[in-house]
Amino acid sequence: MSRSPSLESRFLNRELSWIEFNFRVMEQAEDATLPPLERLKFAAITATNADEFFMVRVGGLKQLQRAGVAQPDPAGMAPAAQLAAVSERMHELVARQHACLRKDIEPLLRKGGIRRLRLEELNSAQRRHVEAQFHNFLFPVLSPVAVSLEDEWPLLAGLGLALHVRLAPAADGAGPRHALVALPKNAARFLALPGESGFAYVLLEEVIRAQVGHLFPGVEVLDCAAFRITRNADMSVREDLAGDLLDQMREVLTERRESECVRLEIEKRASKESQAFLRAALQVDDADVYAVPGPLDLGAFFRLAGLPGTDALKTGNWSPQAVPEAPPTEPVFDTLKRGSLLLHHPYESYDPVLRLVQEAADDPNTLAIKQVLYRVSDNSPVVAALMRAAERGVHVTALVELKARFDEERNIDWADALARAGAQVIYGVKGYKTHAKICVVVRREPGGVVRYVHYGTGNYNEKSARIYSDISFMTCEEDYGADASVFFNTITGYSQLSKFRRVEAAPLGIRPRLRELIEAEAERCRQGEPAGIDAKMNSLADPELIEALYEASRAGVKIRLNVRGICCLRPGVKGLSENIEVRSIVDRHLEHARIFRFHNGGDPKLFIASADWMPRNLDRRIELMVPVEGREAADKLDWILKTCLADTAQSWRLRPDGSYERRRPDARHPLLRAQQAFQLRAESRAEAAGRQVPVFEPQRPAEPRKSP
Amino acid sequence: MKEPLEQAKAVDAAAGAAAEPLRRLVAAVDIGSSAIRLDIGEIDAQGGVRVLESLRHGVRLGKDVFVRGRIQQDTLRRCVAILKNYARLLAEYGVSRPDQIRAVATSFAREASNRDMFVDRVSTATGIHVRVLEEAEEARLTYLAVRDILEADGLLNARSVAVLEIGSGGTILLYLKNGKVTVAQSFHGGVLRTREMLEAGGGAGPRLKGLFKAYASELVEQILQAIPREKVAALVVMGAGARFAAEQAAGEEQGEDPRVTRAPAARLAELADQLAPMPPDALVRRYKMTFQDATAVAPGVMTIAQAARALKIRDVRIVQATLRDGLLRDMALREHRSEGFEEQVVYSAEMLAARYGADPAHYRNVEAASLALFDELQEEHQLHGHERLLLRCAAILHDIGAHVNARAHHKHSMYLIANSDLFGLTRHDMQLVATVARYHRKAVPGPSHPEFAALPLEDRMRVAKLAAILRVADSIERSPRDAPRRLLFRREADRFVILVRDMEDLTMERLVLRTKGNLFADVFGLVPDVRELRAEPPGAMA
Repeated sequence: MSRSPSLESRFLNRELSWIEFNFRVMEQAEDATLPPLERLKFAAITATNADEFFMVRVGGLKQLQRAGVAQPDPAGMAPAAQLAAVSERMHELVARQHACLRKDIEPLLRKGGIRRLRLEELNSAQRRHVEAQFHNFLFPVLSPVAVSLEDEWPLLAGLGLALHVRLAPAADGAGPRHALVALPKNAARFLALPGESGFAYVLLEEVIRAQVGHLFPGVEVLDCAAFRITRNADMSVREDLAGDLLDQMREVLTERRESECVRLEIEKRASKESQAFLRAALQVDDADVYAVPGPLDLGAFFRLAGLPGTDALKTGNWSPQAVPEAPPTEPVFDTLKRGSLLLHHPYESYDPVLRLVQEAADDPNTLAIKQVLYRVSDNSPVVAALMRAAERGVHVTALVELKARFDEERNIDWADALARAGAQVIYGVKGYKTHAKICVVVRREPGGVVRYVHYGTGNYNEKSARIYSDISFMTCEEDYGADASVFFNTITGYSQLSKFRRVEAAPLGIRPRLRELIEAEAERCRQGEPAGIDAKMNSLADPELIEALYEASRAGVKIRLNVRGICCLRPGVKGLSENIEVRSIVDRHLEHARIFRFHNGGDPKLFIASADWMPRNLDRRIELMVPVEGREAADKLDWILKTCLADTAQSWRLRPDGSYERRRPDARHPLLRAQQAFQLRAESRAEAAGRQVPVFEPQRPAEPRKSP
Repeated sequence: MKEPLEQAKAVDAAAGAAAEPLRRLVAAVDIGSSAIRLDIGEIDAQGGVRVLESLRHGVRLGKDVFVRGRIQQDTLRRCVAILKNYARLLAEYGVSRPDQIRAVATSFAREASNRDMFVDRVSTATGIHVRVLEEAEEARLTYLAVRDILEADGLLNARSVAVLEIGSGGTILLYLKNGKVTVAQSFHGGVLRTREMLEAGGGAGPRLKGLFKAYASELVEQILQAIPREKVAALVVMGAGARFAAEQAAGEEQGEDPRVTRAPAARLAELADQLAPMPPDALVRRYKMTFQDATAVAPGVMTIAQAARALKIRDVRIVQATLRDGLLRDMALREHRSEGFEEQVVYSAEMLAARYGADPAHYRNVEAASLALFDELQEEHQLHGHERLLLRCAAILHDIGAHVNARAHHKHSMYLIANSDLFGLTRHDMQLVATVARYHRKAVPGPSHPEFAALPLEDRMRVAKLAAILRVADSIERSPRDAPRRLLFRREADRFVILVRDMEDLTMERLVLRTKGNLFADVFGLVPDVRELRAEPPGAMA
């Protein structure tokens, strides 16, 4: 890696660590062994990640900087220094994105039949088609606005595309005139062209640019360039991502300028005059201008990966497998009565989780279903089942987290529908975001009331369950059920928090429990007993827990961490962290499970959690950490964690300086691709069980609702 | 295909499952001085209780009442909001019938000047019918809550056990001898009250500690006076302060029952010294407890420590049991109201009778005759087991007034009983027992007697019926005898004939019955008469 962050601080900077993650994803896009559409997806992911990053993190840092806050972060960097470093790295990333797109991915796509054409390349029939499209559909909805540096600007949508048009001076005027044309939000970005095999398209901005003269009759267009601005996200979103900045930011909020522009992306072809004008008008620093040598908004290209008939350009399907322990023909209640169930998605089917809710909805013995819902999919079968249950008179309690970023509208929509069906809908817990993944079904049975619980690391979203790798733990053991009741009685405000029997919940319990577990390993080590900590998470940024890990490392505890994204812990530093290794897997599925293992003198304690080790998760969210007990489930979880740590195919190793290097197999560490191992094992187990059942049959809600 | 045998088994299993009835779901709501608590429980076939849900919400009812004498509007609104949520959870379990829910308000409510308004508002607004719990009833429920634990711990066979429930608003003492409750008493020294009183005086730090100590020793002194001067085998404590002490001062050696924690008295004393000077907010920070608990723990632990020292107990047993456990247990037992319970009540009645020097040879006979009459007249009076128990107590206690003065002793009996506690009976029950005893002789109940007239119609009828029986029983048991005799009854037109075996002379009985049988005739429409039953010659039976 080109950059070496300083070795002076005990912590790595969180923003730069996040950018590093995106470089690792970018390397997937650059991986020539992958089919081109897969590579395009990875490139698109880096782009959407960057969008969010600018809105929330960069936006927050800029506000701090403007307010004159110079206090350094745990890594010793003040906001100004962080912003400078971020800008430098992000420019590199953008260059890599576009180089990769133009030089590698697009030529391969072209061969495969997906072709982006420039206007000059169109034949006359295609040109006529495009012109007709413009006049019939675009012209009526385009509204150019004249702008100047003096007048107030129209409110441009953040992350939307617009064209800047420079017009010749009026006959009596002194200088050129300027106008903006926002691209209609609901118009397709990719305009399909007739008469081509495969999929040929032109970009929307190209089409409008070609016809822009029609919008300014009688005036000469000097220059026309597409650009895109990124605004500082509003507070509700910031509560999510910028948790660690929140306290400082509260103080500077009064000075906040409404929706300031934190990034300007503009086509590289734009004239110097255009660039200068936009920069001045939007009050953007040079460092925040990204002149892009290709199409803007790479994230939109994700859609191309969904085109029909493009399977040859994608990797083969890894379909989720049924687990032999949970035959689809058997009610989930019976399955769980035989024993707790641990599922590893997406290798293993999400079906038992869905069926738990669906079967409960239709079961006359169900007393209540309670569930936290956060980022559910459109037409969610979970929501449909809850609605059905509520209509049947089952007591349904749904905690709908409205602060799930960028999903608010969708959430409110179906939450209203749930409430109308008779469910008790709670819109989150004041002051906290509820991030715990839990569902409990209370059922009256002849042997007594039984509670069936699902604890998970992922959201109740069967679609993301196909992309994210997550863990589900399902059980009807008394203690877990009682804890689920305590949890819901607390978040519904029915009761003040009482003690849990097995689980721990943030914001009160997880941090102290983790510290206790880490310190216990350190103490064992000091007393000469074997000790060890293995943990897998998405982000590690909590200074207190990092210090506890350093302390354990100094005591001699072997610590192996699998951290997918941000990691502020600096590993392998003598006298600080030489016993800590940090790796990151970036592969086909997004690593999302949180699994913690403490050696505990040879009787390992294993946990799954909804929480990363970040201040926002541990202090400002409602999260759950669940011990996985029961031999089969615990052994399986142990194996999953070990396999992740043994990956040598898709893993990166974090160096002391904050950079990452690709891990390679060697004599002691044979080639192993963890995700593939999971899939193969799931397949062979399903096969051995004599069936390979297709899963995730889309199940429509009982009464499909009209979208507004 | 499955083997036929397996199939048969499967069918059996399914049938067995279907045949097993659903378990009864019940709920106990405890509206206490510092918190409102709800337990939802499930009762199995053996009467065992499994707690499914346990909720609590802090309230300042005790603070309102102990400082201002009445419940404030804000507090009331908060109680209603909390109970509405509880009602929602109860609905989830289908727990809504009155026989499934016991909701009680404890010490604060007994003292609140606006208790009736409180009970009415809360009951109407939430659909949960709340009763104000009497002290005696609370003591009985406390006993029910700990009984199983004591039994498991072998303490029901112990010679003497003191049980202390140190609540926010009051302290309950139970003293057991060989498993029988011999003393059940409430003291107003609740821990919340202590804080209120002491902090009102502006105490803090060392001064606070001194006051706690003084207060605790006064409470312990009252406890010592209530129990016999003898070696106490075990001290069992419960309450919020006790639970905290269990966490902080548990000894190394513990028994098998996880509900019981043994805490050495020395450690408790240390803990008490450490806690006493700390203001509640410091406790909250240090021990991550609720504010309600924080106000309760220091005086609670202090009281336990001092009681242990006074009773010379080395290891205090702290039990995980609450009033809700007692309520749930009570509901579990309701179906087959246990003989154990009735025996316990009768035992305390006998203790009371003994205290006033009543003659067992007489009252045992009256008791037996009363019960025989009660059972015989079931058709006529239509009363149930509970009234039978009240009659039994009245029979045991009817003469205790003679201790004061033989003249008009029935009137002395009345107030002595009315002002005593029988373990397991409510204040209202005691009122009925007292009134029944009062009418065992002389005047019959009438509107000119204020105690009688003040009773609701239903109770007036119960008293009249029970008193009618007691008067007859008392009439026919004039002469002392070693053991109760067997009575036979016969109805002859409008006469109710009591046949007495082996009696030489019934003149006295007949005479008394003529004056005292009047109420019986009025109430049952039958004139009582007593006759001798001659022993038939053996051959005549055929």
